[in-house]
Amino acid sequence: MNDGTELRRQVHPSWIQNERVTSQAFRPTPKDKGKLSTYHGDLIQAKESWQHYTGVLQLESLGVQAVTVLECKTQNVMPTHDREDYDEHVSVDFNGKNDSQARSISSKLRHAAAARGWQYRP
Amino acid sequence: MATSEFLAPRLTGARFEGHSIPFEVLRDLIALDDMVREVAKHKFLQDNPGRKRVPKGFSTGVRLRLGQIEEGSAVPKILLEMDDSVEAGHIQYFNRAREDIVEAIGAAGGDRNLQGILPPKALSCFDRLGRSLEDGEAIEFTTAAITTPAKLNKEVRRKLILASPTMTGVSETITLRGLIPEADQERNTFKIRLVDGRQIIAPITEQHREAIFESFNKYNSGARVELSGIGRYDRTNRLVRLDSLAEITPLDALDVGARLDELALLQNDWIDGAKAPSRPGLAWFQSEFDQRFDGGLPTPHVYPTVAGGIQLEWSNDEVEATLEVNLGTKAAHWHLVFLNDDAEEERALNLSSPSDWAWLNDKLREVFVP
Repeated sequence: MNDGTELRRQVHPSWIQNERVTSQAFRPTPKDKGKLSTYHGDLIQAKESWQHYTGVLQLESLGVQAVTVLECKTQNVMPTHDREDYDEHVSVDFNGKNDSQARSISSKLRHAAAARGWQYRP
Repeated sequence: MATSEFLAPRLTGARFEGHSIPFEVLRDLIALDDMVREVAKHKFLQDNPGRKRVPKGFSTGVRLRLGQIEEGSAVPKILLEMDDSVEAGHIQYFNRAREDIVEAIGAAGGDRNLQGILPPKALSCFDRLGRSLEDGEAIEFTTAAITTPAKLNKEVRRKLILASPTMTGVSETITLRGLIPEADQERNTFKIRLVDGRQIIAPITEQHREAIFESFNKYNSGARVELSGIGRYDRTNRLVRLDSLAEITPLDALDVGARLDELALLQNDWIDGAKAPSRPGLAWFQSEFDQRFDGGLPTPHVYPTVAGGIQLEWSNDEVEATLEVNLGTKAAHWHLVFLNDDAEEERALNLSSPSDWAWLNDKLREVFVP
């Protein structure tokens, strides 16, 4: 994993409106224990990650967006290829960030992902 | 001609606070004239069992008139005018009709038995009286004998209408949002498909024909419209059709009301462990947003939050702004981040307060309007 590696993030249907994704998709929810789950972009293509997420994990996603490792590091949320749950799993660690910081970071990551555009839309 | 004070119903709710009455509500009040006449005839025939009909001029010589609107929310003063040709003693039937109508409203509101208070034909007049009442609004009736206000609201009105065995349902003014997938020029009807998939049939009116077909032709591009008119509900409170169409408006792709309709369909656990936004909470927000948000400002994107609230978002190349709304407490958290220099602003808002909405409008204007 290098700075340019894309970290693929699955987006829930309700978090998309007119093709725009909410910043909430780029920060962990309370049940995530401070870690944002993504797919390692050097190891799995966007379409395959979506197929794994919806088919194997049986979770809902209506598309895949991506941020880079560098974009996360710039916001001081460090990605770790921890292989948790599946081999391509990368956690982006928000632990230690307060609510306000998490909002700022997720807004910036949302902006970067939006500029990159959809990686995959079923 | 003799004129006497007849009723002074008090209209309560936000729409009546300026001591004025919208035309559509005045139109509803016209039904009171028919209802009083119907009950008075019934009373006369009860007192005169040998007669098959009321005396000539009994109803045509008597009418209700709107006097003036008094203060106290809005209080239309309704007068009873009786031609000289009408036998003076007949006024008692109209006065007794008034008492029975107010008693029936009070009984329905208090969940008491409605049996025998009003004839079925008079009960069916409630299908017009109060048809445009909205949630939180009521018409309060008192008389010299009934001093505890009998409140006619949407729920009470429904009970009164359905107490008539001849009524198959209830009509109410409604607003619907959706797509137009079908238009039938032979039957002069079209269908609107709501966000939950239901398709409601409505009449094509000459006045709205062009707008209906324009939306129909844009069906595949997802062009949604908002319709307002008279909706017909069956006895199980299921909307079955639109009886009449008052207005049709094409909706912006980001229309907040249409988006809130979508969010109202979410169930708990829509995403792992998430709460669904409450319908009353969404209805409250929509009403506040419609009243207080400056329509000239950029329309926000709206998303559900895992906590059961909603989050409004605005963005451009330089800033990302969010407003997280707690639909229960009506508190909101404003957050603005500048992408170039990492500066940010935060503020806690109370969306029950008009001044906080004004602050939000000013802030959005400052940040997003060049």
